[in-house]
Parts: sequence; C-alpha cells; structure tokens
Amino acid sequence: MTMSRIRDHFPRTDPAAPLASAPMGDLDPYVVFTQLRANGPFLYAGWLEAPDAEMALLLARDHYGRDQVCTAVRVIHRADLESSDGLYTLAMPPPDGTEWLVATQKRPGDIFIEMGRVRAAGPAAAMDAARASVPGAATAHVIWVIPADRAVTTAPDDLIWRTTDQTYRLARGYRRDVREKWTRFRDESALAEYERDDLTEEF
Amino acid sequence: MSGSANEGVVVDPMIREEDPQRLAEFEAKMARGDLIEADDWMPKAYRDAMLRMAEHHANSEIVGALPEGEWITRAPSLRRKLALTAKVQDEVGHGQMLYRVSQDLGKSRDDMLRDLITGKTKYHNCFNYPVPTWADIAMIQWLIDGAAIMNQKTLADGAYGPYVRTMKRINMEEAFHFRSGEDMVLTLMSGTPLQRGMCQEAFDRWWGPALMFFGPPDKPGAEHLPPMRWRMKTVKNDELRRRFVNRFAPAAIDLGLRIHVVEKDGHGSVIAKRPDERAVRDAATGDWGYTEPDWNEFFRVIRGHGPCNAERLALRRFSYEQGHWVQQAVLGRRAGLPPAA
Amino acid sequence: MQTIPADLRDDFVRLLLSVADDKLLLGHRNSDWTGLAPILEEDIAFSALAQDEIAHAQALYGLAASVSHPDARAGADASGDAPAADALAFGRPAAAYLCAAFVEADDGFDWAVALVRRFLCDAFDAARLQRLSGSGFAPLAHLAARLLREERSHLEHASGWLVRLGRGTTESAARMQAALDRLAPAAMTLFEPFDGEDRVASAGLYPGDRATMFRTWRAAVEPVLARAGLTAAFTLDPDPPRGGRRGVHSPAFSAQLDEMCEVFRLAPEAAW
Repeated sequence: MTMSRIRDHFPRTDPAAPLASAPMGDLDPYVVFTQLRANGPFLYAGWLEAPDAEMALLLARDHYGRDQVCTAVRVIHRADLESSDGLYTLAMPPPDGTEWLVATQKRPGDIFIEMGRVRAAGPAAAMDAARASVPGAATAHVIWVIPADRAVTTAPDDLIWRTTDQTYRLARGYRRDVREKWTRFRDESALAEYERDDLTEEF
Repeated sequence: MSGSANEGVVVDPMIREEDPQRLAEFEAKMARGDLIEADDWMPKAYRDAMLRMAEHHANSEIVGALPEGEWITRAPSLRRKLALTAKVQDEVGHGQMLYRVSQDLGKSRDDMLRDLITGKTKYHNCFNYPVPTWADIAMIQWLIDGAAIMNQKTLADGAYGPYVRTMKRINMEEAFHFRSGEDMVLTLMSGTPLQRGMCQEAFDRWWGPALMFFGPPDKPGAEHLPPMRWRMKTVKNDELRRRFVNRFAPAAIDLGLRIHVVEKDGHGSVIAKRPDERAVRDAATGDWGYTEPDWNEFFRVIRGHGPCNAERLALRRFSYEQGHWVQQAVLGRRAGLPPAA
Repeated sequence: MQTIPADLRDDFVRLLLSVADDKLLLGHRNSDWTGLAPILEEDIAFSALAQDEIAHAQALYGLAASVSHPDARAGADASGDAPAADALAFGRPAAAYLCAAFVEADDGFDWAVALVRRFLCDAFDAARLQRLSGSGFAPLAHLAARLLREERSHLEHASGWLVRLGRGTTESAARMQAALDRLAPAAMTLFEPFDGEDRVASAGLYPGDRATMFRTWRAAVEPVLARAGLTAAFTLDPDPPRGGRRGVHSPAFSAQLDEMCEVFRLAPEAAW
C-alpha cells in the first residue's frame, strides 16, 4: 500500500536539524463578515491572514463563504477597527464626516453583527452616534466602528456559494441516506431513540 | 477534530502572585458563569494555560489533517473524494481559526508552527496512529469525530469568549464529518464480506484511541482544580468517556461489529485480540462497560514514541519549509501591488 | 438540440470526457495538497478549487453517461446518476482517458509548479467552457455557462497569486519563472484535438475552432504574466503528436490511475 506521491515521496530533512529558515512573522489579520441572505445583516464569521485586502477577500470567499450558503463576504483589516472595549484601535483616522459601519456584540460570547451606519468625525464620535441611533448599540456589550470605505466587499455578481451540488460537505447531505441505512440494522423505536441522542449531542 | 482534551492542562502556582482583589473578581466572574474576552483582566496563569490549550488544539487540527489526507487520492467515488477533501480542508480551517485565538493571547502563528515541527509543542495523540485502509477513514470520522464533537460541545460551554465562539463554529462543521463517517461505516457494514472485514479491522484499530481521546482518568477533585474551576474544561474526562461508550458501543454491536480488547505492535498493527467481555450494558445503571485502554501506550505515544509521530512531524515540516518562500514573498505587502501593465 | 444524432454520439462523448478527465485529474492532483499547501488560508482556498474541479468532472461525467445511454435515465445533470459517473471516473482503462498530459503530470512537490499549472489550466478551461456554453446541445450549454462562472473565479484566484509571487522576492520570482519555463511547452498539450473534434465543431456541438481558442487563451494569460513580470512563449503545433486527448498516456499515468482507483477496484460493483 503506497501513499499519494506527495505524501510518500516528500523530501525528508533530519528532524534533529535546526530549521533552515529564520522566523518570519505573520501576515496581516483581517476580520471576515458574511451575509447569509440578500439584504440580510453581515455576521462575524472569523479571521484570516492575507497579503492584502484583495487577496483577503478571495481567501475569505473560499473559506468562510463556503461554510454555508452565502450571498456576500466582507473583509476588514484589523487596523481599520475601533473597538469600544479598547481591544482594537484604528491606526489611521479617516477624514471628518466619514461614514462608519457599526457592528455590535450584544453579550459577551456573542458574535458581532453589523447593525447600521453613522456619519461622524472620528471614532469616538462614531461610537456616540452609534449609541444614539443604531438599534441595540446603546446596550451592547462591545461596539466596533469601521470607516465604511475601508471595508472590502464582494460585488453583487461575484460567485461565492457554488453552483454544483455541495451536499457532500454538509451534514444534511447525509441524513436521509444514514437513516435509510440504519433501518437495515435497527428497528424504528431504537432508531428514534438514537436520533434523539443525535440532537442532544448536536451531531 | 479536537485536541485539547488530553493535554492535561497544568496551571502553576503563579496565581498566588496575582493582585488578590482582581483575582477575587475574576474567580467571582467564573463562578457566575460570565464569559471572559481577550481584553479582560485575567491571571497570567489563566492566559498561559488558555494559550497552551488553544495552541494544542490548533496543532491537533493541522496535524489531524495528515492521516486522512493520505487517502484523498484513493477515495473510491467522486462524492467520497469530494467529501474527504472537504473534511481535511475543514480541519485546516479549524486550525487557522484556533491559531488566531492563540495569536490574540500573545504568540505568532509562525512561532507556533515552528514550535510544532521542532517538537517543542504537542498535538493530540490519536493522530500518531496509522491509517492503513479506506475503512480507517470511515472509522476515524465516525468514532474520533464523534468523540471530538462530544468533547467540543462541552468546550463551547467554557468561559473564554474567543475560544467558545470558535468551538461553536467548528462544531457546526464537525456535524458533517461525523455524519459522513457514519454513512461510510453503514455503507461498509451493508456491503460485501470484504468491506465488512475491512470495517471490523479498522474498528479494532480505532476503538482504543477513541476511548483514549478524552484523556486519562481524572485526578481526584478535578472539579476544584483550575482547568475546571476556570471552565477551560467543563466536564470530566471519565464522564465524557462514559457518554461516548453509551452511544457508540450499542451502535457498533447493532451494526454487527464486535468490540475487542487488542494488543498492538510498535507500528500500531493489531497482533492479538479477544472479545471485550465488559462490553455489556449494566442493567442497574444503564451504562455500557468497557475495558480501560492501555494507558501505558497512551503515555508512550505522548512522549513521542507512537507509530507515526516521526512521520507526521516530518510531513508538517516539509509543508512548512516547502511553503516558506510563499509567505516570505508576500509579508508586509499591504502597501499594494505594482500597477497593471 | 435536445438529443445527439447517433452518428455523432461517440465524438460528442469524447468531447465531454476530454473536459471531465482534465478536471478530474487536475482536481485529483491539487486535492492532494490539502493540508500541505503554503499558508493555511491558501491551503483552504486551493483545496476549494480542487473540489470545484472534481465537482465539475462529476457533472460532466453524469452528462456523458446520460448521452451514452439515453434510455437509462432522463436526468442529464450533476449527481443524477452517481454510479454511472463513478464508473466513468474510476472504471476505465488508461487508454480510455482523454485528459491532456499537462494535467496528469507530477508537480514534483513544488507549489510554484502546482500554481502555474492551475493558472494555465484555469485560463484554458474558461476559454473551453465559453466555447461549450454556445453548444447546440442545450444541457451542455447550460451546464457550461454555470461552470464558467466558477472557472472565472478560479482564474482570479490563481492570477492574484501569480502577480504577487512574480513581483514578490527575488526567490519567489525565480521560482515562478522556473515553473513557467517548465510548464509552458507542456501546456500546449491542452490544445491537442480529440478524435472527432472537427465533426462536433462543425455540427455546432462545440462551436469555434482550435486556433481561435488558442488566441482567446493567450489573451487571458499574457496580460497576467506581464503584470507578474514573467515571460513565456507559446506556439501551437498545427499537427501535434498523438497524446492524452487520443488516449496515448505515459507509464506514469497508469501508475497514477492505479493509485486513484485502488479502493474502487477492490469491489467495483459495490457501494463505497
């Protein structure tokens, strides 16, 4: 039994030998938001690292954009975030009167959701404007404000979710087959009990 | 696939050097069930332990991509080929997200990758076992991913916000891994004698590592020690193992699989087996019994002497060294690209 | 046109197989990088593209199966008949595969080679799908139009890296140029005609011609290479030697096929 060629024949180095390359540090971090239905809110999806915003968007489409049906993807460089809890600080403030995106985290542990836009001079004013006018911002645990023109978003006709059958990568793509096959081994009542366990365990 | 459970999180006595007032507030938050965010005050021991846990988990994801990756080129149908590729890809994605959680606790991804391939940090034990047949792929996705979901579901009830959010997202994807594994096991056990035989042999190889997945038996009073008191872990190893066996032992038996106690050689091949007589349901408690896995083997593998430790690290190292020039070429490029010609 | 005239059926199936086989073998080669490619983010994306190729192949095999056996099943789309698609993907002898030598070759564990090949193939596939989207056979035209959107996003991805690495460090530029030097001549095998290509072309099933497609491909490839600071010369052989498109493959291809079909062949009739 042989492995694939890459895995069977890769050039090996002495594991005791020190690494030939010097440490190089990380690429820039971008936060990714995804929109799951047309005109719906943008939801925090996660982070990734990329050489620049254009590549960040391409890479985000092929990772976070493919985890579920998705209509748009947006990336924001971490240096373009200002966070009400001081975790992120905007590196270069934009000109006065800039439009800001406002995302809020309702309670600790929740994901950030983009809730609206405000116009303001500077991040502090944007934060105040958000609390005054964006739904839920006044009571949110944390607010993020982002100069709107620094967010990079897919175009309306960009393809994100694929056109081919994607059920192979989703749990629901297997449920019917699995159930049908189980009936060869278990009767209905045992199967129903097993499926209740499924729900408890979030399988 | 989760890697955090069997690391054995150790929190050193540095806690005593912390500001007592802040520590008391932190402990009170923990007791109330509040979540901690990256910028909240936390004892250094907590930050360090959380970093070790997230880093170990991230390492496990990207090393965990290797054993199953071996079979992508040999998957027996287009759908299975797609599914296995997507599954391994998900593991890399989970690793990427968990490295981010770790980076925010103070260590660069590059340093973490370098520490992994030079053996300074660890990853989950179960990836040090061989994957000699296609049926092993089915068994890993059914048993090991099943165990991972059971574990990660409890980790998603933890206290550290960034880790909790990542667990929730990961669990959503793991459901596909488990379901696809279950479908493969069901297909093989519904198939030809050759397929059922492959499946039984793979089950014999993976039942032990699956029991070990949740880590060694708990220390006495584990619930009062920092990992549980600080909700880095929320359920004891033995309790998770009990839940796992109660679900999977009867399922395996109904499928026609036999639960064996096995003896393995240094390459991870089964050289002797006998039926596990404890694998029956206790009428009084309702719990299924099992024979404890070989914990000596577990600690031997953790110390680096498992069947595939060297192989896994060598391939990860190849990947890092082969790809080094790519990251090097685009570091610090945010300023932009040359204009179109 | 909703059915293929009987005298064109074999030629038309060869057309579908040549496209599907290219995609399967490229996807197969590239999927092997999953978990190993440079930079975790790119590892994920590169694998996503490999999955697309295999999914495209699956849809095309499904269509080929329904054309070969028009009575077997009416559904002429994607996963309509998975066993028939799998039998085409895994159950043929080497000489029945019509992929170009370019997609089946080893990439030597060199990601520059993997990427440049991806780029040249994506540009070729985009040009070919464009041609197929004008096919007189409606099910193919619709499928090709759908796949073309994905192929264009692949090309965008590969181009993004090509430009950044071509203009990156001295080392990255040298690696990319070396990969291109190695691959440019072999890329021409993509254009080898399959048996019957002229007949399906003139029947409107595969509108256009080889020379025009070559020009379309160059027009897509060369500006990106220029932006990347890379150089290559491409020359179309008017009478190419018999190669992959006509079932003539290297011994390495048989070995590759043995690996790909290893499990399938254990029980070809069984479900896996």
